[in-house]
Order: sequence, then C-alpha cells, then structure tokens
Amino acid sequence: MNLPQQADPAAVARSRAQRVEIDLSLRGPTVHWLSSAVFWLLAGTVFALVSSHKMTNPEFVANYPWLTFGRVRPAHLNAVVYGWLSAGSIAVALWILARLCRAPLRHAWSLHVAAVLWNVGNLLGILGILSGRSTSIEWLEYPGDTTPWLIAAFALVMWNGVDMLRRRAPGHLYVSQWYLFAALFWFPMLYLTAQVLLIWKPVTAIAQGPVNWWFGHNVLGLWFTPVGLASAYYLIPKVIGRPIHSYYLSAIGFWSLAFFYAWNGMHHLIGGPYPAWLISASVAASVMMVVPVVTVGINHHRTMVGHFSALRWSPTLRFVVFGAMSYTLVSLQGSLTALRGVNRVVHFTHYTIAHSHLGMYSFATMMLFGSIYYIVPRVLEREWPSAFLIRLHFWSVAIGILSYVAALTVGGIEQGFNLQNADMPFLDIVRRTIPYLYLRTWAGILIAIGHVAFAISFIRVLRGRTRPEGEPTLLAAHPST
Amino acid sequence: MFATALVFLTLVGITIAAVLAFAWAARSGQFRDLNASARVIFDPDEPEGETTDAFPGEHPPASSEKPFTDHR
Amino acid sequence: MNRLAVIFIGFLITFTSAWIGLALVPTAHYGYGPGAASSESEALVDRGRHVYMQNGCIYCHSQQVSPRNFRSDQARNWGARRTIASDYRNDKIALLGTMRTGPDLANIGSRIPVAQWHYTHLYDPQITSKGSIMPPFRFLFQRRKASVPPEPGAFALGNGDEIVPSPEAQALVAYLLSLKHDLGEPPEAFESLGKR
Repeated sequence: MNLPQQADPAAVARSRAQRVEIDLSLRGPTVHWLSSAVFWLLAGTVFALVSSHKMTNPEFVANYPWLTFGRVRPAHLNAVVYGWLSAGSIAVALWILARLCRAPLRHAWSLHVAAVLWNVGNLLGILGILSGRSTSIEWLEYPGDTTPWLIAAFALVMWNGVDMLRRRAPGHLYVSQWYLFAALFWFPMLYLTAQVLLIWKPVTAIAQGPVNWWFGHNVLGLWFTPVGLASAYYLIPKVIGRPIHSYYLSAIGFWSLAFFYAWNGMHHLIGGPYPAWLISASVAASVMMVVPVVTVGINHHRTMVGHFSALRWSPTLRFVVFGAMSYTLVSLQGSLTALRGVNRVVHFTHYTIAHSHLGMYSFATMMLFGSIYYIVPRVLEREWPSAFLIRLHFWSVAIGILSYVAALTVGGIEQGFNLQNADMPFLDIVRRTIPYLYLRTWAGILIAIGHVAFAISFIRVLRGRTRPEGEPTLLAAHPST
Repeated sequence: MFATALVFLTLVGITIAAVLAFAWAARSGQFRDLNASARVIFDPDEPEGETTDAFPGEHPPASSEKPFTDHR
Repeated sequence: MNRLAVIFIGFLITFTSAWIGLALVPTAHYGYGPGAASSESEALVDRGRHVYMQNGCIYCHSQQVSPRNFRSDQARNWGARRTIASDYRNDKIALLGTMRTGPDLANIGSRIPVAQWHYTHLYDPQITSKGSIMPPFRFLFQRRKASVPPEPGAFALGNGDEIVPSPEAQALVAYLLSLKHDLGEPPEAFESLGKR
C-alpha cells in the first residue's frame, strides 16, 4: 500500500484549496435547496400528525373540507416525497457530484431558479390537494397543471449534474457517480411517463394501475435509493478514512439494482384484475432484489468492521449507518412481502404503511440527515451550533421511527389475519387496530420533536450563531490547524 | 398474445445485448483495476486513514486516528 | 467502468426493458379509451367520482374483489366473484386502492342500494356504523330544523333535525350507488389464483 505518509505540503495545500473552492461554489444553491427541504419537512410533519390524530379521533377538525383525512394524508405524502426528500436529494446529489468530479459548480443562478420553480410547484400542488383538486393517483396527487414547474426545475438540475460529469477531472468514475448519473435520468423518465400516461393523456382506467405502481415503487427504487446509496458509498469511507471494502461488489450491486429494481411495482396489484404474467414479473424481480441488497449490505458492513466506535463521535456516520442498515432491512422485507402467500395477508393493511416508512424514512430520510450534517458545515465553513441538538435529533427520530414501524407492522399483521377471518365483523377489525394507531401518533410526536431540534440547528447554523469556541467539523481531524 | 410475444422478444434482445456489452466491456478493460477507483475519494489533504467528521466541539478519541492499515 | 457512455447505455437499457414491459405493454394491451359520460345520469356519476377523488376516499377504501381462495373478500359479501379488467371498462380512472382501513367498495351499489343509508353514513358514520373511524363529511350537508312537509331530498335525523345533502353529496351517493363491478358472467377460470 502506498499511503501518502509524508505528503508534499504543496500538494496538501493544493488539494485543500480545490476542495474548498468546490464546496464554496455550491454554497448558495445548497443553502437554498436545503432550506426549502427543511421547510417542507416541517410542513409534512404537521400534515402527518394531523392525519395520524384523525385516525383515532375522526371528529378532529372535521368540519373543514380542506383538512379532511383524505386530503391531509396525500398532502403529507407529497410534501415529504417532493418537498423534503427530493429537494434534499437534489442538494446532496449535486454536492457529491461536484466533489467527485472535482468540478466547481458553474451556473449557480440556474439552481436558484430551479429551487424557486420547485417550491412554487410544490406549493401549488399542496394547495391543489387541500382545495380538492387531487388526482387521487397515489404518489402523484399534484394536479396536472402544477407538475410542469417541477419538471422545468428538474431539467435545470439535470443540466448542472451532466455539466459537472462532462467537466470531471480525468481518471476514475467513483461508484457514487454511477448511481447519481443514473438517478438524474431515471427520475425524470419515470415521472414523465407517469404524468403523460396517467394525468395529461390518461390511458384507459384499468391500464393506469400498472403505470401507477411502476412509478410508485420505482420513485423509491430508482430515485431515492440511488441517491441514498451514493451518499453511503461516499460518506462512510470518507468519514472513517478507509476505502470501500470491495469495488467489485459495488459494480455487481449497481448493475443488479439497475436491472431488477426497474421491474418492480406490479406486486402492489397482487390479487387485482391483472394478468398473472404482469404481476409475476414483478414478484420475480422483487425477490431478485436480494442480490443487490445483500451485495451492498455486505460491502458497507465490511467497510465499517473495526470502525463501529466511529458511530460514537460522528453524527454523519450515525445517521448514514442507521440508513444503510434500514436499507438492507426494508429491501429484504420488501422481497418477502412481494411473495403471494405473504401479500394475501398483509396487503391492504397498516403493515404496508410501516414498510413504506421503513423505506422512505428509516432509509432515505436518515441518509439525507446524515449527508446534511456533513455538507452544511463545509459549504458554510461554519460549525453546527450544538452537539446536544444533534444527539436529541438522532435519538428522538431513531426511537420514534423504530416504534412507528414496530407498532404498525404488528398491528398490520394482526389486521391482515383478522381480514382473512370472514367471521370477524369489519368494525371489530377496525376497533382492534386503534391501540396501534395511538402508538403511531405517539411515535410521530417523538419524530416531530427530532425535526424541531434539527430545524433549530439548521436555522442557527445559517444565521451564524455558532459557539465562538466551536471548531468546524471539517477541521476536527486536524487539531493542529 | 401480442403482449407476451413482445415481452419475450424484449427479454431475449436485452439478454443478448447484455452479454455482448459485458464481453465488450471486459475486453476493453472496463473492469481493470477496479479497486484503484475506490481510492479516488481521498486526496493529499484528506488522505486515507484520516477521519473527517465529529460532533461539534468534540474530537474523536486519539485511538481512532491511528494510521489506516489494510488487512486484506 | 470509467466511461460515462458505458454507464449511460447500461442504465438506459435496463430502464427501457422495464419501461416496455411494465408501462408500454399494459398500456398497449388495454389501450386508450372510454369512460366518457353520455347520459345525464352518467354525468352525475362522473361528478360523484370527482367528489370521491377530491376527498381522498381511496386512502381507506379499495375497489377490487380478490379471488375466492386468496382473500376473504367474497366470504365477506364484498362481491360474488373476483373483479376482472373488463369490469372497469366504464370507469375513467380505476380507483383500485391499496388500503382497507374501511371495507371494499367495488360493489357497494349492489350491497347497500339505499341512498338514505349513504347520506346518513356520510353525514355521521357513527349513526350507521358505531365505532367507525371514518371522518364525518358534514361539510357536504346542511343541517336544520325539520320542516313539515320535509324539503324534497332532505333526510330526518330523528331528533327533530333534518339534513339536506349538497349537490356534491348527491353526486357522491349517485356514484356510490353506481359501483357494481360484478355484472356479467362470473369467470370461474379466473378464481384459481391462490388455490394450492
């Protein structure tokens, strides 16, 4: 191993100057996109708590049409999927791309324009849902006339991402770059397909189901998953200072994900009015997802081995490793759930809600938190204000989401078996789910506390109210500077 | 019938394309020296063996800053 | 794997294969078409479907009956047979649903063909289904002192009050009453899923 033990001071200074230049070139857009994301996270959390409380107390704000359960629930989903997770993923993706391409951002203005477009699109979309213009197509509820804003914004993001890749420093393409390059194309291709076939020029009713669930499943599989994995592949080795265990495994993981994930989705229609080949194709692809998932899981685990103590002192690593472990868990659970024998019981129940939160929160959102904790001090050249707030954030969301998933998984399985028992009256089944729905609300409150702690940290670091003695995290490994 | 045929032909076509692509990629050296790519995230300023994140105002314990040793 | 073009062609091919299989083929198979309202009553049903979509009924109610040996749907009288693709040929959008926090509605029009029950249930689910967690849709009604003789279209609540459904409520109930997805010959051959 040729480790640069005695690095040339000039080379050190040069590489540091270049890294700082890249980070600073992204300062404005990153702050813009992340502030938007944090705003939508809080909005989505409020919608979540309102809908969760309504399930145990249907009379709660029941007289306002715009606050009825069937509008607040999709408002929650879309606010977190497009407002929080997508905006956050875009910020993280561009920062990682710039770093790995060693190419500073050239067109910061275009990303500001894109962020404005993205926020307008989301705002109009959420208002559309609340005012009763929802399309009632799950994961795509925004009215068709509000989505061009999102598409225009994403086009600008793509342009910047591809521009960086084209200007990349000669040499290797890192695994994170493969994932991000692909995700920059997969998301718009998926989204446009769904918009055209479902909303702008809808196909006949029965053909909408497959398109709907192909999108619904793959917006996680081909958008949030690649961005989340790109973060893990970059941040885990970077934080602990050790290269990824096996690069061969990363290549297998990438190509098997690209091939199998894209064929997922139809298992949401098991038992529905569709031909068996269609559903079986997705069931098979879903089971085959074990290959990329186990590959990635082993690779990340082997990278971490011997460095688990790092979880004690690195906030980024805590969130990212939590996310990476959840990825393994949620994907294996997904492969299992796609089997017809399991699906007949747990489909149509709260189990599905638990599963999607394990993916969208425990994996994607935690990954995003971890990345934000790493990126923000570097683009701002300023430390997070308080270790206490970060610890509070981590523990409340970690305990919150685990209780959430546990409560709804157990409750959902029980509900599924009760549904299968035709002798049990329907209202008895409903009654038996109520304790789990209360647990869900309490877990949600815990998660909300974490979000407030995170938002306070975020606002304070933006306003520069950091402790005078606070040393930037990015310099923590260089006590001498 | 049309649907089944189309799916079947697509799958056959893609399998052939994948095999050809793999053969070409292997011959043209796309898989050569893969593990070197794993090290591109490090640079002289943040070299391998150096940790880069900690809670604000806190330092990682000294033991974790030991130079990286590769056991493979 | 250090060339953009290699990665690009690779992920484009894998994506396109699934795009053809899961988006293009089903779409080509079922095609574009239908569900245009032709008569006045169908226009009312269309408006009702819109109210159903506006208020997110789909988040708790499915509209599909599973095969007999697969789930208990048919034993629960949610339908006499499983639903098949052609059952949805007159729908503009297939509101198949993914949750059964409430019961399936694929055949609610045959199961409960009583408008008054639906109005009362929508106004306050506790009256018809004690213990339900469905939200009340009072904002679709006007409540007032019962008049003698009652207004046309008004329903007595039995405590001296009556409720008057808004045009939206009338459309929604017309839509619910129209939900009959089990007309035509029961295709026995399709019930086999789940038999072991």
